[in-house]
This record gives sequence, structure tokens and C-alpha cells, in this order.
Amino acid sequence: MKYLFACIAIVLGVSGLAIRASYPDLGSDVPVLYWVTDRNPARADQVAGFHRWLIANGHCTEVRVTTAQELQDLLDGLAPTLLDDMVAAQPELGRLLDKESPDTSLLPAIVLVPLLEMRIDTANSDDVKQTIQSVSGVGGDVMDVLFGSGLRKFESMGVLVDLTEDANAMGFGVDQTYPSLAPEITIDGRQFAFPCNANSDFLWVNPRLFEDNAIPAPPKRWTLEEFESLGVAFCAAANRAGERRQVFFLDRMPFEIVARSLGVSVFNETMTASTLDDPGYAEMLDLAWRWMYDLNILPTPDDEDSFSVSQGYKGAKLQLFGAGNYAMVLGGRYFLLQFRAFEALGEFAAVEIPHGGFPNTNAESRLATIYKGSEHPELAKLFLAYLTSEGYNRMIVDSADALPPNPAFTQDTAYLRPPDHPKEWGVHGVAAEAALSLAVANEYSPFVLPTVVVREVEFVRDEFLIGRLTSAQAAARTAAVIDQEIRREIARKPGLRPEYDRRLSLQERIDARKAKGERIPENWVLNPFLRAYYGHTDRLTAPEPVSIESDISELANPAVGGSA
Amino acid sequence: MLTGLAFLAPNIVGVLTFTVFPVVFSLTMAFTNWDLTQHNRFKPDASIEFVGTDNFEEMATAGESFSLDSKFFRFLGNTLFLMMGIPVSVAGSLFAAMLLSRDLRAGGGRRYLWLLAGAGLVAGCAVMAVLGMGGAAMVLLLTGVAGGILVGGVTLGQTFYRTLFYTPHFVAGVATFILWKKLYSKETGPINQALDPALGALASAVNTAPAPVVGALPWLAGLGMLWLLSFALGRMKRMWLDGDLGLGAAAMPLALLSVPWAVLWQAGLPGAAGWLLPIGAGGVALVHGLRAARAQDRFPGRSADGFGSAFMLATLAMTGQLICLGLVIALGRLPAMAADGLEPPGWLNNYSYAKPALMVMAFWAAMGSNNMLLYIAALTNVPPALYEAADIDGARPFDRFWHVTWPQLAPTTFFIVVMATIHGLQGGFEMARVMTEGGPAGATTTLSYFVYQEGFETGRLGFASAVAWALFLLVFVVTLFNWKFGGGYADD
Repeated sequence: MKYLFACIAIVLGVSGLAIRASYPDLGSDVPVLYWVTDRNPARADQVAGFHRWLIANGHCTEVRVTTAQELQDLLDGLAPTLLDDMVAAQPELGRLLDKESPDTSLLPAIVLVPLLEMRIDTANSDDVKQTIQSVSGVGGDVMDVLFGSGLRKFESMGVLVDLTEDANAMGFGVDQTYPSLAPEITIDGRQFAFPCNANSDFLWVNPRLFEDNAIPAPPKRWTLEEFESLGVAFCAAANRAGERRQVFFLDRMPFEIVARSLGVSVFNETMTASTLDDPGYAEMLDLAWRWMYDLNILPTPDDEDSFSVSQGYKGAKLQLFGAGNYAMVLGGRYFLLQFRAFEALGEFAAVEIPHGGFPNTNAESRLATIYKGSEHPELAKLFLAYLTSEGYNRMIVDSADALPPNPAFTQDTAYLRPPDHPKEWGVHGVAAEAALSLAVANEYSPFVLPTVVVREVEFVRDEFLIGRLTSAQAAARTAAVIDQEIRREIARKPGLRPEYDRRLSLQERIDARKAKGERIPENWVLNPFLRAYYGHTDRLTAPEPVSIESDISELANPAVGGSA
Repeated sequence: MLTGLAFLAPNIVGVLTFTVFPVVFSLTMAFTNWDLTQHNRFKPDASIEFVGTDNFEEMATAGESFSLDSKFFRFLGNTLFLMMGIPVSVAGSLFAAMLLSRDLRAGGGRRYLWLLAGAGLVAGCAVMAVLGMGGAAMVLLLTGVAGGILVGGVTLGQTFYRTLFYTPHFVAGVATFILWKKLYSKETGPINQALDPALGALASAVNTAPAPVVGALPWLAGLGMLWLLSFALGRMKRMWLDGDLGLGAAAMPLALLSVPWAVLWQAGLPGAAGWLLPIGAGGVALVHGLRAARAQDRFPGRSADGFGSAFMLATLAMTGQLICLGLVIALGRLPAMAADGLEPPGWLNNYSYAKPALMVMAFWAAMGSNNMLLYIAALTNVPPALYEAADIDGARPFDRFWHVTWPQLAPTTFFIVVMATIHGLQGGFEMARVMTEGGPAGATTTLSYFVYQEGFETGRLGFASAVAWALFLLVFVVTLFNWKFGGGYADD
């Protein structure tokens, strides 16, 4: 028996070594970097484009190949996909770099080899996996992080490379993307990411459904009252009286954006406390209730569960929109990734999210960051530089993978009126306009994790929706719970205390001005939403010195508070 | 010696590395401020600090002070609520095992009778489909399945039924959770599809029935409560007189029996039921107490004897009384509800129904689980001579069960209860994650889900460790309790 065990141990050991030795990256003569990103077929094209970009921009080595043996060594040392990309960038070398039967008659030749090979890792894009792997020292070289909330989590873990200086030097600084995304990619004035794409939500409209029910299509910009009256009329026309409602006006209302349109902010001007106890927040909760349960123009959770479709990206909403169960769906331009597959769908239209006085929408992005544990951080930065290139941006435009990171590429005909997709022409302009003129950055307090805020807000909102709290109680409790989390976070992390105290001092001065009905200096308002809202309501004045002993880091950098 | 150690070494090293070390490590971490966002290899300056019992204090705190409204206690409450289904599940497993221990194969002419019945059902489905009654898809489905089961059972007997009952256990958990989510759908789920006409008929019956008849319904449920109390007390009195139950062992079961009445008092039922039912319960308790006290022929026994039986009896009676109490409340409100028409609930999206809905699903899964197999195995070990002796003594079927089967199954029951309790305290994560994401408003968040949220969504591993160790302490105490009282019962 012991010989059997010994044999098994030997076989396992040898197999392990064999697998290790056959790892593709071990066989590569150029450094291999991994891009942890989502499962999207477009990523392969984007990586191929990156390899071509490296060669076109001189981020490559010149290899002089004179003999057949040297050629064979070169071919053996590179992955087939990289060779394909090299051929695409150097078509004249196509026959020479054919791994199966290289044409040695072309020798000697100069071959440009990229400085690195980028590979896609879609198996580890889950947030929890990324968290565990990055603190363990095995994160991907380039990591996609969703939104500024994710960025703050990873930055607070200390696993991201500070890109500020390199971003400016290599041309992927804050000024290369949408102004509303500045707070998403910077923390305390330091840049830690660059957008792979951008997104601002709007409402997709199925005009045919409105025509079929003899209801006028919604206007591009509309108020909450207009939304409600049109929704009631539409649902009455589209559903049989007395039967279960199967057609809804909209799949989901972004109530946080509706609350903002009523002037409700999650945090105060200095992000030191929550202001969700505002009556406007309770008003928003009442609206949510009325639209879902009283008027039923939005589906309740029970209505959503009752649809038999539950598969697909972003759940079932796109399928249900295609099937005519939703007249409108909330989302971004990236919905086209699926809509283009629905041949039966007619023309699309797009309108803004209805507002209660301050039209706005969200600003979000899939952010590329560089892992501090990467063995090749300098090479990884090239990838972020590539994200600003025309080739990459055109690829995003053509594939409809949301909006290109560089807003300049949203203004030409190729974006606005893609010749192959005429039925989308009514959408692209609205999508770009939303990101450029309506989007307002999210609010991220440095004193509480964004994930905790979202969790608590949703928890209390649920308590309201199931009838355990009134709207006023829910508003008060939400603010109280977030404030409690802020106090706990400061107690847990004493390093936050000095900054918190400085901001409290500033907040007192802001409150004093507000009490007197005076305008507030623009640079005092650290909350990007409130800065935009106060600007809209003409409550800002020119910057003034803060006049407290220590500098508040964010005040030194206006980009942090940037907004549309 | 060395060779032996060498062979054992991989296992020992594995246990030490992957079990003992993490356990000790997490215990240590429970008293620290370990936070992934602050303490990792990329933050060499930040050190993990000992914070004493801060994490445990935070668990019990809502706002700035101790509160039973803290998330820990709320989620502990959810966990314990879901565990109330354990006695019912154990009883269900036992029932299934007893059912499946019989020879169910049809013999002789009966086989053809059953086959004919099965064929009739299938033919009925076909006729319904041909006649355009496809709208009754639920009926078709259920009838077809029933026909298939009947035919399978007739031909294969026990083996077929045992496999069928055990099926939920070897189907992947997530698949069954998704299936049940669809079953529970408010508008299109089969459960509500079946309930809807029944509730419609009930509503019209209530609306047309004379008021005194409708008004008597809650009282019937109340009488059910009283009968269950009386039954349990009567049984316990009998056990006490026979010397099978000591006073010390009776204390906790009696406390359990009083729980529904405390809940009733707390609920503050309107009208006469609010005071008549508690008075009735007091009367029942008094009568049984006086009879027990007056009895002269008590067989002597030890104070700690009989806890297991009494505990199981009291737990089942308590669960039954709570169900009756729910009926008292629901039936009391029935006329007002029926006036607007009765609607089936949105099971998973309703705060009140989400937990019971998960309990029902867990019951379905547990009934045919390993517990059933254990009971089937244990039932085969009951000596037939005991049943023969009971028959000679003129025992009725219930007496055969209560005086022969149940005591003989005691060791198995003890093992099942201990394991089910441990799993119940630790469980609930998968179904909450898949079916409800812990909602609505945390109604289905269990402690294990809370540990996951704190550990991996916010990175607070120190706090998550503290919650995990609080959970361990709970499991430990409950298991100790089981061993202390249940172990002796099983050995008797």
C-alpha cells in the first residue's frame, strides 16, 4: 500500500510541475500582464487594438531576425494571439510570422515586438474575489473597478497605484474625460484610474408601444408631474381593466436621481453628516410608493417576480422591453449591446429622467486601475494611455459599449448617426448630452464606505416600502444610521479625525452663511452634487480662502469637486 | 512508528493548517480591529490592534446604547425563527420514514387497479388537452405527475418512493431555490394560482355566511389552542405519574408551553378573546395541576428524567399552538379582509410572509433528507417482539408509536436534533442569498449571511469574526444543553 501511495504522490508531483511548466505566460518572451475585466466579447478586440497601438506608438522592441533558427525562436516565444496582432500591425510580415509555415525567404527582417502582452482575466472580476486577491498580493495588473465607490474601497485598501503624475505626463489625466467623472477617478485630488468607458442613465423609449396605445410619446425633458400623468394614461390604455397588470410605464425609477432633482443630497456640503432627513427625501419615498403600489405604473417586486423571464444581462428588463412589457427602461447606451441582437425591435427613442426642478442624471464608469502589487506597473500604465487613443474610442463607439472615455468622440457623425444602425439615431445624441450636460458626480464621503451607505439606504427604504416605517420616519432613520456609521468609522480610524474636525469647522461657517441667507463660496462646497445644485439655484459665490489652520486637501484641487 | 506518522502527516498538517489555525486565528481576530481596508501587505504602517470586547459591544448596540433592535439581535431573531421549523421537519422526516418503511407495492389484483388508476389520470390529462383545457396547466401538470408517481410506485414500490422523497437532497441547492422562487411568485406562481380560487371562494363564503358562524371561527382556533395545551399537559401529567418525567425536567417544557400564551397576551387581542382564552388556559393548567397534585399513586422517578420526550412534546405543542394563535388573529380579521376580496400574499417580498415561506421550503427539503434515511435505518432495528408484546397488551396504533417506536428511536432523534440545531444556527445563507438577498428589510438575513456581509462586503474581518464566534458560542451552548438533557434521554 505504501508503494501505491508513494507512486500517487510522485504522479501528482510530476503532473503539478508539468502543468506549471506549460503555463502560457511562462512560454512568453515578453512580460505578460493580466486585465481583470468583465465578460464581454469586445474585450478581445480591445486587447488586440492595444497590441497594435503599442507597435504603432513605438512601445515595442526591434528584433532583427536573420536566420531561420532565430525566427523559430521568436515564434516559439510569443503567443499565437499576440503574433496575430503583430501581423495586423505589420501586414508585410504576414508570411514571415506564420507559425505553421514561416516564409524564410523574407529573411533578414526587422520585427517589431510589443513591450508586453495583455491577457484578459474574466474569471476574477467579482468584487469579493478582487478584494481578497488584491490584499493577498495576487491581483490582476490592470483591474476594472466599477464606479467611484469601488475605487474608494480599493484605494482605502492601499492596493492601487497613484497615477497623478504619470497620467498628466502620458496624456490620460482628468482633463481627457468627462468633467463629471473627475470625482469618480480622483480621491483627495489624486488620480487612481482612467475610465474604460462612461455612462449616464436616461430612459429608453419604445415609440411603437406609445403609438399602438394612442398615447403621445414623452417629451425629452419632463417633470415628475408630467411623468405621472402620462404613466397613468399609458397603463390604463395598455392593460385590460380588472386584470393583472402586464405592461408598465417604466421598469425602475432611479429614485436617488429623483431625490437629487428635488434638491436632496445624501451628505452635507463637507460630507461630514447625512442630510437625508430632508423632507424632500420623504417626498421621494412617498412618490416611490405611489408609483409602485397606488398607481402601479412601475412594477412592484412582486410584479417583477411574476414575469417568467429572469435571464440575461441586467436581469430580464431588456427582454421585457423588447417584448413590450415595459414602455421605457432605465439605462445607458450599453444596452445596445443586446438591443442590436433584437431584430424585431423598431426604432428607439430616448428621453431624460423626469425631474422635480433640477434635471440631472448619474455619472458612472468602468474604471481601469493599476494594481500596486503588479510586477510591471510602468507597462500597465501604457494600457491607460491607450484608453485615450482614437482607435480605442472608435472601438467603444462602434461596439456601443457605453460612451467612449474621451467625450470628443461623441460629437461626430460616426457616433451620432452610425450608418449600419439607423434606428438608433434618436438615442446617441441624448446619451452624450446626458453625460456632458446633465451628469452630476456621485457623493462619496471619506468618512464612511460608499457600500455601507448604499446598504443602509436600501435597508431603510425597504422598511418604508413594506410599511414598517412612515416616509418621515424612514428619512430620519436613514440619516441617523449613516451618521452613526460615520461616528463609528472615525472611532475605528483615528487618522480620519483631524480631517473630520477641519471639515466640521468649515461646515459651521457654511451653516452660518446659510442661516443668514448668504451665498456660499464655491470652493467651500466639497460635495459635487451640492456644488452643481447650488450653481443651478444661484447660491454660489466666488471662491474665498478657507482660513483654517490646515489645508483641506480637496480644496486645493478643484477637480475633486468637479461636476457638470 | 515513523512510517505511521509519515502517512498521517498530510492529514494532520491539513487539519492544523486549514482547520485549527483558522479557528484560533479567527478567535484572536475577534478581539482586534482587523479591517481589510486598513491592514494588509500594502499598508505596512497600519497595525492590527487589540480592541478588547469592542466588536462584541458593537454587535449589541444600535445608536449609542445596548438595544435589541441592533442588527445582530434582529438577525439572530431571524435565525431562531427559521429554526422553529426544525421540530416540524424532524417530525416530517419521521413520518416519511414510517410511511416508506411499509411495503407499498401493490400485489395481486390491486396492481392492476393502481395501474388502471394511473392510466386513467394520464388519459384524463390527454382528454383535457384535447378539449382545449390547456389553461388549467397546473391541473394538467399535477395530474400527470400524480399519475407518473402512482405508476412508478405500483411497479417499483418502496425503492421508487424512497428515491422520490430523497430527490430534494441530491438536487443542487441553488436550482431548488430558484424553483421555489418561481413557485412563490405572487401573480404567476403555482402556489398562488392554486390559492387564488380557494381564497376567492372563501371570501364569498365568508361574505355570505351568517355573522355568528364567521364570528365563531376564531373561537374554534382558540379551542384548538386550548386542546393542544390540554393534550400536552395531560401527556406530561401521565409521564409524571408513571415516573417517566421529573419536576426538574418538566420546567423547561412547561415554559415552552406558556410561550404562545405570552405571545397572545403581548399581541393584545381585541374583544373577549383577549381575556377569555388566557383564562381558559389558566383553567386548563389548574385542572391538570390539581389532578397531578391529588394523585396518590405516583411511581417514583428522578427529577431530571424524561426531559427529551417532554421537550419534544412541548416543542411540537408550542408550534401547533402558535399556528392556532395565528389562525385566531387571522380569522378574527377575516370578515374585514373578505369584504374587499382575499388575495394570496407576495410570499418573498412581504416582511411577514418571507420567513415562513423559507421555512416551508426548508421543511420540504428536510423531510426527505438524510434524517429520513437515518429514521428508516433506525426503524428496521426496532425489535418486532416489542410490537407483538404491545399488540398482546391491546395497544392502539398511537400507543404502539408512543410507547415502542418513539423510545426506540430516541438515540437517532437525539442525533438528528443536535445536527439539525447546529445546521439551523449556521445555515440560511444560500437560500437568503439566492431567493431574497436577505430582504425585505433584512427579514430573511441570518447570522451566517451577516458574517458574509461584514467580512467581505465591508472588509471588517475582526467584527465578522466576533459575530462568527458569538454564533459559535450559541451553537456550543445549545449543543451542550442537548447533550446534558437529550443524551440521558437517548441512553434511557
